[in-house]
This record gives sequence, structure tokens and C-alpha cells, in this order.
Amino acid sequence: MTGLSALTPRTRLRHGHRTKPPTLVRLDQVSLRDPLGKAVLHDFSFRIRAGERWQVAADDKRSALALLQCVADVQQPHSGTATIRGHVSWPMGQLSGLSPLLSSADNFRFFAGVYGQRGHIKAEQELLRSLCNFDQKIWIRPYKKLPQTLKQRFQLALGLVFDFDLYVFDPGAYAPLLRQGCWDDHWQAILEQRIRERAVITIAGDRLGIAERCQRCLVIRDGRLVDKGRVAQGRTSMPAAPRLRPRSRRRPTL
Amino acid sequence: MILDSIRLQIGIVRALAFRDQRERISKSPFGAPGLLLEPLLFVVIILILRLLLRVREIEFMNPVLWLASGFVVYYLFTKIAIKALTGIARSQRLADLRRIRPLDFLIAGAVVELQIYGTCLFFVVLAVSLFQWQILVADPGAAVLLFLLVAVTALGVGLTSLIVGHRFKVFKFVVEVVIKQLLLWTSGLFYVPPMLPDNARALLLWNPLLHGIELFRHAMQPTYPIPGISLSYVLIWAFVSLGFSMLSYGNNEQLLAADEPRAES
Repeated sequence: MTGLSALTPRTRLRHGHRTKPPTLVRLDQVSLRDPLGKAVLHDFSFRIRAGERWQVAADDKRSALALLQCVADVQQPHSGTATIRGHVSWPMGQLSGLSPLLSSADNFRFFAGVYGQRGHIKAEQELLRSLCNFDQKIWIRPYKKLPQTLKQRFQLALGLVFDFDLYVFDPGAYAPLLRQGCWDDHWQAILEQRIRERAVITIAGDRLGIAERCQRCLVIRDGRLVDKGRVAQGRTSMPAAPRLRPRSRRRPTL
Repeated sequence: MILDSIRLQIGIVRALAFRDQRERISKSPFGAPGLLLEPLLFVVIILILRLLLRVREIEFMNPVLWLASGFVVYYLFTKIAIKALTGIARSQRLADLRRIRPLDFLIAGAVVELQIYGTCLFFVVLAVSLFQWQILVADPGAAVLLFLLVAVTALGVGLTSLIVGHRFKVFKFVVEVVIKQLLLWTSGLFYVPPMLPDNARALLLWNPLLHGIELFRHAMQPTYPIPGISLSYVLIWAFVSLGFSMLSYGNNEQLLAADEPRAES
């Protein structure tokens, strides 16, 4: 397997057991409407700290997607504030920055210039090529001339190649890969190594097993946050909202 | 920490410039040389016209260099300024990449224009130098500095117009007309400014691009006369326009980004 040194995290989580990990994303009373004017998020407040893994269970998928876009700073809230401090990925699978005129090699070079780690660009390139399984001919062919399946593979692999503090996954985007049978052990191993020690937010009910690894859940109903907290042991399956662990009540202090 | 941020910023601008350059090359039917064709063709056409019309010979310096320096610097200015005026809308496709700010596009665009027109001028100077078998640039350092100052001024003017034009549409339109039309006739591209009558020359000296072009010619040929032309004027324009544009951009970035229509995902 080549390019595995690209999987070395840029920074490691360093915080004592008494201090809380740093906040990567903080949403304060965020409201968001879809293009038709319907509220998809309403008065939404929550934060993601480094290393936390969240799954979003929503009755309307648009609300979950809007939340991912807000967290990734792709969508500006119509009201409220979204503060993003960490190194947050784009919503995986919703990438629109690839130039159809450029080859996969040039597109990668562009992304590596923006997101790559210094000294790891070559390893990142090898990792990408091993995930996509592109030969030299495909690698230098203009992106617009690639078959749709290869385009999808390249786009999704690109997200796993770079190191982020928070990975924003839209599992629906990975569905074509699963259908094509391209999601093999290599992809799964890279995914697991990539999100180790990293914060993750995904939509509940994915088939990649990311949501199963999430300890925390947000439940959205009618665009409102109705519950959030730790997922109870053994109950992580979706689409139904997972049973959340009851919050511990503070003992009254004397 | 600050060094890391600067390094990251440089990396982003370089990546965007690379992408812009490659896209232009793939769009051009002649590939990379096609990018140099436009300004070179213009110089050739004007030269042929001058020969046909038997216009009075330029006495102070080589006519090809005189024309090329004027047109290349003029093109550099207008391309950067116009791109800065319209550059934000083109950035839509990269709205998903939050690391890239609208300003990065404008700087990257300016870098690509500098590369193209710098290369173009280099080839003209090389060709004329080989033809005459002597080095024709007396002060290359000053020439490069002026080239950069013109680019900085263009970026500052374009960015300021973009932000002010965002609030007053008429302003943007007027600046676009001034850059595309008025500067063409007032920047000393078709006539030698020192040979103009004093009152006409005094009228043209408001134009910072005229100062930039004349100083550039003077850097190539020290005997080229530059009455009334001042480097301080170019420096003031460059720093004031860039400073003002950065100040206004810092306060308006969110507004500009929010007004961009969202790309379909």
C-alpha cells in the first residue's frame, strides 16, 4: 500500500483529562432557509469539540444537509452566527471545485496547494492514486472526459487524502461507490485511519459505518434541535433517532 | 503561527494561479503560446499601421520596444483591474472550499497576468536585443519594480471599484469605461508624451498609468525624456489604492461573499 505516510495527522489532540478539548465549530441560534424560503434549520445552537463524533438524525434530509453545509461554512446562516475555528473539510461528496478542463493530476495539484501538508504532497498523491486506481493515462486525461464512475471515485477519494480536524460526511454521496462495489477494504481502512482522533459529523443511517462510530447524536425535527447527547450503548442504528442516554442530573451543592 | 498563515496564504494563491493558468492554456487553441499572442499581435498590427501610414519615427528609443513596453504595461493594468472588477462572480465554483477567500482569486489572477505579460515583454526584448546585438534594458531592476507597481495599482483600483461599485452600480460602470476606453488614449500608447504641447501634457499627467509606462520606457532607455513624470506619483497611487482597497475589502468581505449566488451542488 502506498502513500500511507499521508495519513499521519498534522496535529495530535493534546488536552488534559480535566480540560475540555477546543471547540472547532460553534453555531449560535442559527436559522437557515432553503431556496424556496422554507426554514430547514430554526434557532439551532450547538458546538463540536475536537475529537467528538456526531451523527445527525433528522426527519427531513434537507435539514441534515443544511446543517452539514453550515458546519463546513459552505452555507452562511440567514440569522445567528456560525463560528468555525478548526480545519474543517468540505462536505464530502458535495465538492464543486474540480475543474473539468484540468486533468486529475492538475486538479489534485490545486487541492494539494490549498489543503496539502508540506512535505507530504507526494504521499498524498500516491494515496489518492491507490484509492482511485488510476493508471497514468487516466491520471493525465481531462477530468471532463472521465466516465462518471471515475469522477465520483476521484471526488470522494480526494476528501480522504487530506488531513482535517473535522470531517463532514454526506453518506448519500458515497452510495454510488457502494453500488458499484468499489468500496473495498482498502477504502474502509483509509477511512478509519483518517478519522481516528478526528472530529466527525455525518448523517445517521449511512452504510459506511461512520455513524456507528459516533458517540453523540443530534435529533432534528421540523428544523429544530429537539435532542442532543450521547448515544446509549447498543442502540446506534438509524434511521430512527437513537435512544439517547439520560443526562446526569447535578447533585445540589450544599 | 504567523509564518504558517503566510505560508498557507502563499500556497493558496500559488494553487489558484496554477489552476487559472492551466485552464487558460486548455481553453486556448494554441496552448501556452496562445496566451502571449493577444498583446504581441496588437504590437505587430500597430507597427504595420505605423509603417503604412508613415508616422514620424520615434527618435528616443527603439520603436518596437517603445510600442511593446506601452502596450504590455497597458494590457497588464487593464486585465488585472478588469479582472478585479468582475473576479468575484467567477469564484462561485469554489464556494465549497472555505479556505479560499475572494481576495485570493484576485491576487492569483494578478499573478497570472504578471507571468503572461512579463514573459511577453521578455520575448520582445530578447528578440530586439538579438536583432540589434546589444542589451536594450539599461535598468532591469527599475523595470521590474515598475511592472510590479503597475500591477499593484491595478489590483487596488479594481478592488476598490468592485467594493464601491457593489453599492453604487454606476461607479463600477464608469470605472470600467475609464479603464477600457479613456486609458487607451491617455496613456501614451500612440504618441510620445514629451513631444506633446505643454498644456496637453499637463492634462494627461493625472493618469498614473502614463507615469508608469513612461518610467518603464525610461528604465529601458535612460536617454528617453520624462518631463513631469514622477515615480512618487506612481508609488502614492499604488500604496493608497491598495491600502484603501484592503481596508474596504476587510470590512466588506462577508457582504461580497454573501451576495455571490450559490453554485449548484
